[in-house]
Amino acid sequence: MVWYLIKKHLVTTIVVTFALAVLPLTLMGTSVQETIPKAVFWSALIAPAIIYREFQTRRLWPLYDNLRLPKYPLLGLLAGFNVVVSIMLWIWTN
Amino acid sequence: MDLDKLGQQGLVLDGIFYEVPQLRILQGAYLKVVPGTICGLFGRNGSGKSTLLKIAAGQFAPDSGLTIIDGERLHRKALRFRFTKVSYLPQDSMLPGDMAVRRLIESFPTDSSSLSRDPIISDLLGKRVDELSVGRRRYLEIQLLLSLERAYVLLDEPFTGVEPNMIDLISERIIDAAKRGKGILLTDHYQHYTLPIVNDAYLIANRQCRHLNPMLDLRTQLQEYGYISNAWKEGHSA
Repeated sequence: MVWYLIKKHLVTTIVVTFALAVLPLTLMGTSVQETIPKAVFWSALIAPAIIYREFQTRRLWPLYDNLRLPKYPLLGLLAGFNVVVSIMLWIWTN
Repeated sequence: MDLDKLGQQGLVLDGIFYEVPQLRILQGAYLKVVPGTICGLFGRNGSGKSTLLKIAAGQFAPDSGLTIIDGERLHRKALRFRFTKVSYLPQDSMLPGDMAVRRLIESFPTDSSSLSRDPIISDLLGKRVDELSVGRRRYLEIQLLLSLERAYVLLDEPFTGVEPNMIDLISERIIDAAKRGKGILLTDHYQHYTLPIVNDAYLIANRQCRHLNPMLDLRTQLQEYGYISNAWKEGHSA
């Protein structure tokens, strides 16, 4: 079930990053190097919130409780992963 | 075994108070589930049965009151600790519809091969969860929960929407689990299916749990409290 959560997180992160990046890239003309790390960083906050809400709506959290998988630390780890990736992208592009 | 510890065995909800704005749901509810038994929890819609199960499973925090499992108070313990002792079947399905049944079984920390040998589950292995009928989905959920090494199992309406044949199978699995020493707390409105399998019973009325006398006929007691109408019984026995 951890892999299921990771899979959902990756898909949500890609969608959120794209949504956050597309406006500055197309309308404001900012560079990809500048925009993508920021979009990934903000997805660290938004993607776990979306997943929490989605799993709450689909009533999946009791399954994680039954399997003794703590939802908040797991979502925190995934958010932390996005932050690390955004920092690495920022270092790599600058 | 130590006699003191033997006396403490059981899942106890003690003095549970719970209210939401404008509505008091539970006022000092007490309930005890003994290992190796099936305890039925009855009550009208909105009486607080599901709320009490959610409190036992740590899904809701009561305004006051204790959950005690085998003598250990759990109110300050993490949810993760509580689920070393209990497993919980919510009223609505908790299985992700877009997941393959085989993958789901493999993600449980149990002997997946023994679950896969179950005649009903073996037919479902190649399917996704959202392709299953309500009855098979419920059966799978309950089998997965019963396979976990937990002393107590909380089942919220396991029979609702399930066909009679499947209810009989689920009942058999629940009885087997109780024989293996699990304490089962079960609530369901299908009392003609639940009453024959329960060893002990409580009725929630006036925001409290009334313990029914297990030595007397449970159906008669539920009729006396007005939970089952006499007309139903007379109509069916005619």
